[in-house]
Amino acid sequence: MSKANGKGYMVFCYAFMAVLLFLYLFPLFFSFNTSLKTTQEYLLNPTGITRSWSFDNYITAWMRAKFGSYILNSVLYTAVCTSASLLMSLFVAFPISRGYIPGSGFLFYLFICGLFLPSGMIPLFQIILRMGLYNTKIGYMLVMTGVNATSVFFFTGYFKSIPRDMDEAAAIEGCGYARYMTSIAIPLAKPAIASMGVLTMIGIWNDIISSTIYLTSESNFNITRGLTVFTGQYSSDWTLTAAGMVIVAAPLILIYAFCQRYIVDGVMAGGLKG
Amino acid sequence: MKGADANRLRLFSHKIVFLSMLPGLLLYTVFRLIPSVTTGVLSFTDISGIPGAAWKWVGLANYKEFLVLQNIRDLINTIKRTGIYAISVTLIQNSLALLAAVVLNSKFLKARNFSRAVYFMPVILGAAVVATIWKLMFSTPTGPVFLFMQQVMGIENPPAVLSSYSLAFPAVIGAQIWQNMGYSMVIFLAGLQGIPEELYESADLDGASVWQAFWRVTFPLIWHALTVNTLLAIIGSLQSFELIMTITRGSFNTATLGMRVFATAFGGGGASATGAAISGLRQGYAAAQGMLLFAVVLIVTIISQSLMKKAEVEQS
Amino acid sequence: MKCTRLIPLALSFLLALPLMACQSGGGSAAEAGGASNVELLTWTNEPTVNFLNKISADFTKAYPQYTLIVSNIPTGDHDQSRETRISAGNIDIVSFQTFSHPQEEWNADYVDKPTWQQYVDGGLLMDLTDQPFMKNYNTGLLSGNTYNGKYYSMCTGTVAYTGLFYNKAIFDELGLREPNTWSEFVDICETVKSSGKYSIMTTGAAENWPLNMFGNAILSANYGDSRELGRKLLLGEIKHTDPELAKIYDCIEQFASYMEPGVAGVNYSDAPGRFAAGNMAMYADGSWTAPTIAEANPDLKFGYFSLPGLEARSDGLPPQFGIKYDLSFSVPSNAPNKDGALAFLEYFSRKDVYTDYLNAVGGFSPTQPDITLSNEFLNNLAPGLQSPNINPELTIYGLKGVGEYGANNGFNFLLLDVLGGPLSKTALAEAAEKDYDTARAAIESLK
Repeated sequence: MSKANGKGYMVFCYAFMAVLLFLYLFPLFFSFNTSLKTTQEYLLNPTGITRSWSFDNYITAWMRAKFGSYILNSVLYTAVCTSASLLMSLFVAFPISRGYIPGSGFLFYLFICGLFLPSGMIPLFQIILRMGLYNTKIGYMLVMTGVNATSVFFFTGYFKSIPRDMDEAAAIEGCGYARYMTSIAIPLAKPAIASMGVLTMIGIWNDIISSTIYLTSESNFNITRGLTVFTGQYSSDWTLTAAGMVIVAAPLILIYAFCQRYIVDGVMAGGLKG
Repeated sequence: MKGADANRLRLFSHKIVFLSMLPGLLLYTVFRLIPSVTTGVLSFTDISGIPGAAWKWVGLANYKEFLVLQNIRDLINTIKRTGIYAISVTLIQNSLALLAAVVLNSKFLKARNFSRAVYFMPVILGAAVVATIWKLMFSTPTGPVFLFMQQVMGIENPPAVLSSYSLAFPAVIGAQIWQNMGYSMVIFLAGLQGIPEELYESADLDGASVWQAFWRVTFPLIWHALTVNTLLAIIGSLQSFELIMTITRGSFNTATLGMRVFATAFGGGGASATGAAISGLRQGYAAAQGMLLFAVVLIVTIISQSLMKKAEVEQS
Repeated sequence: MKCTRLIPLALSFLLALPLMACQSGGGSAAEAGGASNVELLTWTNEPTVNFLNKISADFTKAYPQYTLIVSNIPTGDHDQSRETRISAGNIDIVSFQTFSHPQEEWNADYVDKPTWQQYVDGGLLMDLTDQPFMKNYNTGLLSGNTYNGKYYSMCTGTVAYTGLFYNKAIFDELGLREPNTWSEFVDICETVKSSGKYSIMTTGAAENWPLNMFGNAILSANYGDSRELGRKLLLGEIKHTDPELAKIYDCIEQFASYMEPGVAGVNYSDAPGRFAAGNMAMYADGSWTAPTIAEANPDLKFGYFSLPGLEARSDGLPPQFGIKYDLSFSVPSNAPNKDGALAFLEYFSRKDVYTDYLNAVGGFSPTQPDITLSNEFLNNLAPGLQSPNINPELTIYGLKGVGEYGANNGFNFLLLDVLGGPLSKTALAEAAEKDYDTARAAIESLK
């Protein structure tokens, strides 16, 4: 940067960064602060820093809603749906990118369509309903796994960058398809899998639309649905609501703090091509 | 398997390859393609979400109800809102994100990794948490926004933002931008990092100002990323309603088309402008609304795609 | 050779994973517990839910083969949840508010079938008419809760919904008493206002319906049974802009203008606490909230009076409450445990259990004859219940396809400028009438 306007530019950069930081950190801090107050203290002095340091809200929130079970459900949904979706996408994308089966081009366009077609949530609901899978864990997971056009598209592009010679060498040596995929093609696609994995995981963990549609029993709730119902139930008590929110957000923030670079890099790599 | 040696084009047996694709193809077809395509079919029925209740073909009745029976002013308002939501979210979010990306890309800046992490955090937190945060921020009479208006701006009787016909919608738009700005920013950052440092150095030698360097070096090089981002954001936000659903349920003039389709199909909302609950589970009728949304998305996609092509030609 | 065979195997394993997870995680409560569970779904009203949970052990004593499971969902989400649970056929007892205002021959063109009517017509709810426990109930009182002369629900109580809670200490201090006419009510508001010490009144306006309910309260106070007015509005025999209704709009605007600042942002669940805090003179809500107020501040002395009409009643009675049917239990035809559901309704209808219920819930008036209550608040309502108006719905009829200004029959408080909305009262009346005309014209054009 040239020295003449370097200083002004620097001031602008810092000012801009600071304002945005405030806009992002204040709501988080305020919510956390609220969760540590007693209701009385919050009503008397909503903006002051907590003096009571009361953790009762957390205990009450944990007792009233089954956050433990919601978190377990969310972990289950995210783990199963992400791995199933990624694996299936990989096995679909590889032959398409190589043209190993007739109609590969057609299939590719079929998946491109999926990027633009509307979501079709009403017929999807009818299908799940008529399969008797409404309000079941498996029904919800099928819905969440079924949408994977983006990763197919992404993997297809990635596999094209892996030289075809390797396939041929492997085939000549008599390696079967399964072994080739699991021991060569998929390991080579690790960076692509990582970034798609991150995107898919975020999408599934944070899903609120499908969980609202398909999950009605408390025992099936994922964390987002559980939080929405909880905040609806106790909307009059902001300190309790804030505590529930922190319970949901804390593990995410912790994981994010440790894997931040990895997650953001994954999104960077995935987002650019998608 | 020995056939693979003989036929080089068929390195692996079709049968095996196809079998391995089958689960993915099947799931994609049944749970993505078929639903997407059959929305139109359902729009000619009076099917509901209640099994056991009989359904029948009703011809154009749903479309008639939607386009004739329904108050046309309200319909136009909903479409307008959908457009405003998509355009303002896209423009503001992308400009802010681009600005933030350029700023955070400055090497001299301290704490830029920290800032990047903070701006991106709401993406990780998700709609449910973000909605709760903003409902708390806008709550009356103890929320910080209310107190700010009352005590700093000196408004004697500040409005309840999320129950206001004029303010609730901008507030939801704000929350949407707050949540997703970091995502766009990270994508711009990726684009910016691909620009070789030497280009800036030579611009610097030419005596270009920061502003000139941005226009001459940065902008052309991320033009493609910018247009793709914009297009995807418009199409995406035309259909998105997560935060509307979780913050206002579509009441107080915040319902977009997507929100209305959802509320008509699955209930649960004051999706009409005045908050009167629309009776849910009228899925045939909702499908007809969904077709209108699809038409809007299609038109916007075609227009923006052609604009993008034109702009790209002008750029080069 | 070997590894190629592995692919389908691996994939089928992958597909089976969710299945196994589902089994280990357990399905819904009804599936997990087998046929002996009776699952009841209702909206969150703490006293009701607490009472139901409390009697579940005694119910099991009476019927050892059954266990009651109470699921409660916040009011805002409840109806959606009920619809989806009935869809799934995994709920034994569901809750409705009323079974009133069916689509009938005369209004078939103008209104949609209410949800309950869709259910009954679809054969999804059991006919309870011939169940022995229905004989415990006051059939005269409940005749408005039938459809084609049949009972599809067991109504557990009626509520007064056209009244205001008032803080007795504040009323005593300012020398105020329960009003008999609208102008007396306005005087009360003005007195509280000029005292400068207290807020006048509040309600849970953020959810829209609690405030809109008082549009119906004002109609009820002036017209008695407002269904006739609703019929005229629907068919265009009376217009929102007529002088007769202008008086109503005046009342509505006045009522709204006395609400505390920022009332549009007060959540329904927030409001009782704001009143219970002690510096709010009045609180507009139905009698069912009394126990919530008492719980929030056990020391608060409060009463409940009916919103008065413009004129005092000609029969010399104090203003009479508008009442409506509340919490009614129904059994879906596809309930997994129908016998258990009926057993619970039988148990609930026993006079002693039912009396305990009313005392515990504390805001419902009995639908069984000859019930003696120990609840002081309820017994104090008696003067206003000598000739109540049974208006079984919050809103009257909703005209099909009517625009946003015609919603809630054109009496939508939050659209008024005094509450931060976009319209003045005359503009609202005009806009409402225009939306009504437009909707009627559209209906005609589609005939």
